Amino acid sequence: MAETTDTMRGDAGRARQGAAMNTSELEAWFVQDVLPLEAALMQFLQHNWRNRSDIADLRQDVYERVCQAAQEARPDNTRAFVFRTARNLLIDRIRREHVVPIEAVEDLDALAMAMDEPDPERTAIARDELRRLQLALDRLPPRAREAIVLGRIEGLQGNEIAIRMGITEGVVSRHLASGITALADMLYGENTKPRRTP
Amino acid sequence: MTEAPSETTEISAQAADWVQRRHFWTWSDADQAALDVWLAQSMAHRVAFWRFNATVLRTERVIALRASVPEQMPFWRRRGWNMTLRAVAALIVAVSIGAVAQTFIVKPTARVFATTVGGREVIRLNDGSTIELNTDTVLKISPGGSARDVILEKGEAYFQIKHDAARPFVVTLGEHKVVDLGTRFLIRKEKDQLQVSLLEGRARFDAPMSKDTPSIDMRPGDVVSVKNGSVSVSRKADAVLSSQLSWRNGVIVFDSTQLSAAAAEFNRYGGKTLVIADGAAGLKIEGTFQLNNVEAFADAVHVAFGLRVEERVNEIRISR
Repeated sequence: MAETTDTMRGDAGRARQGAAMNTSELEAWFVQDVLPLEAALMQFLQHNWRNRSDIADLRQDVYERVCQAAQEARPDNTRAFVFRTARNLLIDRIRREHVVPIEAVEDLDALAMAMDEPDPERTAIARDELRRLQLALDRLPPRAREAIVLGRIEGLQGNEIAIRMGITEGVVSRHLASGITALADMLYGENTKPRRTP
Repeated sequence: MTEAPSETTEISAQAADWVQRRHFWTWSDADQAALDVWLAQSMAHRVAFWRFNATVLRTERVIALRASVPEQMPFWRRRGWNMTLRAVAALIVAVSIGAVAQTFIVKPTARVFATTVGGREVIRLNDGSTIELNTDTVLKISPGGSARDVILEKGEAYFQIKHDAARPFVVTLGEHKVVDLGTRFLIRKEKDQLQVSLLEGRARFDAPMSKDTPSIDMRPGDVVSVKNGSVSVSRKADAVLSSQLSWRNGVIVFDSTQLSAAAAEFNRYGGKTLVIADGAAGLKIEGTFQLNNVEAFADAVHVAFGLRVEERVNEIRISR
């Protein structure tokens, strides 16, 4: 084995369960293990929280807490850990805001358990990736879609997109940012049931 | 919106702005430094950025469609383009090898690295990554672009890739792709088969988009093999994987390897062609040999098995 002088090894994914993670390991873990749970997480949050306008904030809070903790020690069961964190976050909010009777907490327990199952969606996502992307792009506001398609598919730079679309660079940036935001919600947050081809 | 935006909404907007700047505009070291500062400020910043960044990276797979649609009219303007998806996917299969590759990589200025039979070369990339080419290998590197893209046309290459979350390293292998997430991996591509071994880190193996095959998230020790179009994954011990890399040190390691396979391995490196007669092909050998010294190998099997060794001008023939 002549691998001892290797100084530039990538770090992503090397963390063992229970071990601390550096930033790139944490990102890899977050993108590969946590983001695919977003659809189920959103379902859980929507089911247990009446005020829809809070949901996006709650989701980000869950992610922040989960990553904060995983940085210290990589959880052995990501799915269980994410839902436990979500449940605890809701309980904190309930206690703080006195908006929901405390009995609801028991339901949360039951639900978190019910959701702690392997997700068939995850493999389906890969299979249907292309279709998902296309449908998501299709549902973007037209100007945002045009900007993203010109950039990603035509390979144009931002300033070229501005010229092509006849708008200022600042407006291009806004279309791109809003398009990316909407795409993230569609690609990660929605529980699209894949249609199987016969 | 009548309410003041929450702090989270604010962070989300900033993260989306960073990601669009990162992927759609010219990006300088100063920009990267400013982004690094922003990311370092809080976990909330990092998480929001990672989520949008991953979203943009996922759109890469749509790009491949461009290859199969006529140039003059962008596909999203075509009527019902999403309805014709399946036809398009079928077309990708028809165009087959290289269609996807050409979309991503082949530009007029792509740099080509090639080794001769028996040759070996180390390519050092600007970002600190290295690629080592084994014998009889052709690798192309695309010039610039938002992703780090290479094509392995044939042969064998060992990749040590420096992680960059915003710019994944993509190796195109005919209609397959390996997307790395900070790793060391080995790829061997022959006419009718392909093997990807992951030694460290993580990588994703993508089958052709047109096929109903999920991507494979590779973990260290995983070996993905493609033969006759079918894909399989196996796990190999560290020792086995590192012996696959022994060529980097100029040696070949056999561990209970059949003579016929051992000969095929030697013959990749040129020199005299090793021919094993049928009667001896199934014997198994173990040991470490210099890869440019077929003669020493022949001597060893002569001593170990009492086989006959006939040396001719261009070949060494081994038989019972």
